[in-house]
Amino acid sequence: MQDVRIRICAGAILSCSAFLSLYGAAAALLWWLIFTPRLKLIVRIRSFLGIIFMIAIIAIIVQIMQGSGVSYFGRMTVVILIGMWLAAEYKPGEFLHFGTWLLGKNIGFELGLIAEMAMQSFVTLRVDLDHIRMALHVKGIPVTIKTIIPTGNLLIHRELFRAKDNADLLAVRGYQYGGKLTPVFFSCKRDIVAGLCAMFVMIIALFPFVNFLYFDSEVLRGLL
Amino acid sequence: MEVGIVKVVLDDVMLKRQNFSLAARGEFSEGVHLITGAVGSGKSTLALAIAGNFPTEHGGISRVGFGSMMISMQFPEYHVTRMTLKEECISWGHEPEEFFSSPDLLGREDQSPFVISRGELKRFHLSCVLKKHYDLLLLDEPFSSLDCESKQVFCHHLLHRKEGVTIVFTHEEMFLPHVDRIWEIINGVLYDRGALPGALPRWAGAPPHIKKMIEKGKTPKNISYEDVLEATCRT
Repeated sequence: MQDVRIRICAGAILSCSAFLSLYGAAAALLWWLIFTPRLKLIVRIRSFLGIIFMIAIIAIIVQIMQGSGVSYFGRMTVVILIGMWLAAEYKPGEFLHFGTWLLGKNIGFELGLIAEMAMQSFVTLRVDLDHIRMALHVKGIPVTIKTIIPTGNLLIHRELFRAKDNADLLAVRGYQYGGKLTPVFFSCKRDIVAGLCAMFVMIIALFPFVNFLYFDSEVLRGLL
Repeated sequence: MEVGIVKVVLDDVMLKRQNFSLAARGEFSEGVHLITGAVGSGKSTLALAIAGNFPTEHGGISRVGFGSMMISMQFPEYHVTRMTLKEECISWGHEPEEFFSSPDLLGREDQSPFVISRGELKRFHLSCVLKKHYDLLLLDEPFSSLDCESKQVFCHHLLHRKEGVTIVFTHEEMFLPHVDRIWEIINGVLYDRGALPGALPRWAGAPPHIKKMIEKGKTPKNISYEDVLEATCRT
């Protein structure tokens, strides 16, 4: 999907829909199967399985405590798939254009810049993790629970240092607040169709609530 | 496995990375090898491939007879796995007491590897690497970020490596180690320039001062700072 505006809106709608109900999750999954490159998105299978594993643990706890763990697992898996699609489709600079288009050259530009920097941080975090993994391998240190905590510490530490460097760089270049930018977007018919279908997914997700409200009002009417 | 013989064999290796490719063949036997080439010529990629951390497009890389191997990457922060210099030192398998008794590291055990300068971190990292013996030692740009004094200390340290295979990948021109063989990457191909001192006239990318010495008929015996100085003073 080329148009970042439609992509972000569709991503938000689909994520909410998937989280709201199992109907929504099923419809969002169908949307994901039709409008995305599907399994090609999962470039890091180990990371994906790691996330799914964490969701599964939480789902088991929810299942034991409330009995809705299976539903939680299904809904969250679809949310993750939507998130992976959004991350894979991202092109550097898009959020800056989107923010400026949505909220203007001051707060919009600022939020866009923050989003861009956050995305850059995700990329560098991944690179940092690869380097640490290789360094551990070179030193002959096995990856265990014992090494995970210092690795996490190190990643946060590096990111904070990098954030400070970025802040210094912006200050040196005279950045204060907001900026001028003419947003440019490219869209095609398929983007519009996908966007409309995402809205339809939301309607499906809300169906159980509408049904519930209708049923509720019937009961209410009967009582009255 | 051949007992007693250590060598790295590049068997018609092809490495590819986006728009870049490198063809390499040759045998790295016991001793110190220098691989030179311009920035972006593929030195780091070749180092990673020899270490087994980069896949070959075709051909194979055999590491024969090595019990231990180490690759020192160009950027010292890539090797950091701990929060303090002391922990970092332990992660390399060294005793911190003897490490932090040197004047430049005295009292710095609890410092973060990220608050010291890159040059200091590089020096610290190289000390950690060179304190241990490895049968195969790959040093990618070991001189980057170092001052002249540290470069010379490093070159002198390599003189003590009598066993195993050491491969130094660098584009440094002034402070070079005493080496046994020179290799060169030009236009995506690795060329073996041969053993010293015969390799010097064949070394296309030789530093200008060495080229000048050869032109004057004062070919140095080797490429270390001391060897070049000796050739300069030769009458």
